[in-house]
Amino acid sequence: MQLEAFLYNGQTSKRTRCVLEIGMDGRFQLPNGLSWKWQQLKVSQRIGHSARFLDLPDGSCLETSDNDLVDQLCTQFGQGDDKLHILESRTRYVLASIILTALAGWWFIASGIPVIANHVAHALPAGVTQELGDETLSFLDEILFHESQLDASQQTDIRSQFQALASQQHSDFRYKLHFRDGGGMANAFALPSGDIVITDQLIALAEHPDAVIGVLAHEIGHVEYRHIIRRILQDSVLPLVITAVTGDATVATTVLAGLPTLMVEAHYSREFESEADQFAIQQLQANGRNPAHLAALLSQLEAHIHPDGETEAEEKSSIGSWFSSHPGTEERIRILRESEASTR
Amino acid sequence: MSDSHSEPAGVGSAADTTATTGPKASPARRPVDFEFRGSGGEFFKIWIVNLCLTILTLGIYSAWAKVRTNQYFYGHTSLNNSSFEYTATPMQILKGRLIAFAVFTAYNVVTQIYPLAALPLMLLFAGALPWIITRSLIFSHYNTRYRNIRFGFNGGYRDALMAFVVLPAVAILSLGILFPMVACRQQSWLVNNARFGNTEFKAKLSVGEFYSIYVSGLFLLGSTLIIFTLAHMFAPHLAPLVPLVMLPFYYLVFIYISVKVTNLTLNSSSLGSHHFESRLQTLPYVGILLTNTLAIILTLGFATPWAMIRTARYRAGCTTALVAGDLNQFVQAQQETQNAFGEELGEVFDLEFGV
Repeated sequence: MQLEAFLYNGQTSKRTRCVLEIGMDGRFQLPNGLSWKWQQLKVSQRIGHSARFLDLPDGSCLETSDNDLVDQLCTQFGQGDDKLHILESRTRYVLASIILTALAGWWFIASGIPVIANHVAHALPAGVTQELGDETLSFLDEILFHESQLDASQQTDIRSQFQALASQQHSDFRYKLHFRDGGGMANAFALPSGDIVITDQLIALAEHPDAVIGVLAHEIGHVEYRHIIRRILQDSVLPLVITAVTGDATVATTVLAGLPTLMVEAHYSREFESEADQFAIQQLQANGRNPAHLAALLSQLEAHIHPDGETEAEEKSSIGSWFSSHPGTEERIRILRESEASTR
Repeated sequence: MSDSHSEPAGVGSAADTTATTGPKASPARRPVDFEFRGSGGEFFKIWIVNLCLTILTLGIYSAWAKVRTNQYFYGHTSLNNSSFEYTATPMQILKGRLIAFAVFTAYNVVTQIYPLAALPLMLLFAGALPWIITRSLIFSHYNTRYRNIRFGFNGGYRDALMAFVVLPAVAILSLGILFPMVACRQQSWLVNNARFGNTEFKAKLSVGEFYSIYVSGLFLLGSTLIIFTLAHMFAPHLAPLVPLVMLPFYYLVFIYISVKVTNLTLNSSSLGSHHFESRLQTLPYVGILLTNTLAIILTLGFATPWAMIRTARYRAGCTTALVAGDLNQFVQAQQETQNAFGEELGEVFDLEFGV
């Protein structure tokens, strides 16, 4: 067998072209007169169709691009390891790798990151979440809210029911209810500190007191499950992971990595909402209240926001509205109604 | 390694003796192009197997993946029909990676428990950074082989401290005015400490030219800002689109500077009597990088190997060696073996160096 190669002596960069005649026992002779056996060579691994380097014990080296012959000789003389090259060149292994990688990537984004975020969120000291809450509330007061116009007796009434609900929780959040005038926005939300804000407009929309309690229970659920912190963590981890996986952290990749984040976000928030709904249903039923009232309020909210079939885009423009962060409203109403039926 | 560039004309080619008018006159050089022969389809298979095995082994295989990726890119790059070779072994990389991981974790744990320790640790890191950079360069140069001759790197701690810690700090205090000077100093350090065998790379880089690159980059940025401000005034309804269009322009300026710096550095470099030519162009390169990014996003990352190949092909295609005589005269240096620790620390902190 003849192998075409370049010979380099290892002392200088001098290149000698040679054709090696390799015998049945693996013996071959170099142009410099030295004789070696194939078994003495250290053969570099095959990668794509890159050149192969055959290192000789005396520090000289052969370079050849005849990959197939090198592989054949290695097999013949029981040498070298081409397992990786087989993985990298057979279609079925490549396809299996694509599927496995895609599944792992999907699993990590859909489940791995949320699990990690959940652990981190629960490990965060209360001081951090407290500060986050205080700052957010004073910021929102400045730009969005006015003092509540709700009369004092109604406030005390709702507050006492809220406190009763809050005291049933076993976590060490300090729950606090804030009434605000939302300037036309029917809204309620929870801050990670346990501060819960409800607007006069939402209370006015509710036809039954249980609906308001249902909303508050839902918000307490968000706090108990640490949804906001988890969401902040998830949103900040994903672009990092994408940058890491796609390799070079060029400016454009970093900037545009936000795109897939948006796509996944809807999935995350849907999960959180149904978790909080489940929590609310449990709390309401445990206190002998009817979840159907919350369902009714939800459909009213929908009517309030889509009075004559406004578009999705317009709905999204009122960022932060209690409704817009709650996808799949019809589905949620259905579940709340069903839970009512099951209690009877 | 002392006599490397004093005797080029004589040994290179006996036939050609035009270089008699003085040190400036160059011997006849013939252009030899760098060639990159990798293909996207072929590398995709290697890349996906690497990624899959890395996931299955919870990251351990990443050391093998790194070696195979480098071997692919080095092995498919050739000059005058001889290929480059990456000789580091996965175990070296793995060892370095584990140490780097341990250091990183220790840092995180310590700063979690004693937040006040962050500042002294950062100072410690700043002190270690030049060492990490040099170790990383020594390792990657040593493990690059061409015609059975290893590359090498001679840079020392003191110069690295100056170029990568002290001067950048001063440049920040100067509000960036000194930054081109620092960039020049860094490039100069990188080239002038590199060697092939015992032949040293030389580059005379002028600070003035670095300033002219950065100033024109600044002008480019300024003019796009003015255009967008005007567009904003005359077409306010397009305002939400402005940031979307602005980003590629920032990117353009960023690439413009790196392209010009690469060209300048390579064009001023010599290795013995051989010179180099780099012809990267901003717009085609930005075009490649932006379409790469777009493709990577649209394919959820699966176009990454194709993007890497395209970039490597363009860069190699723009690089030429101007060879005086032939490439047979380089002599191997005496050297000790290297460990991967420095390079892997460098990688964890996301530092990439290359000439």
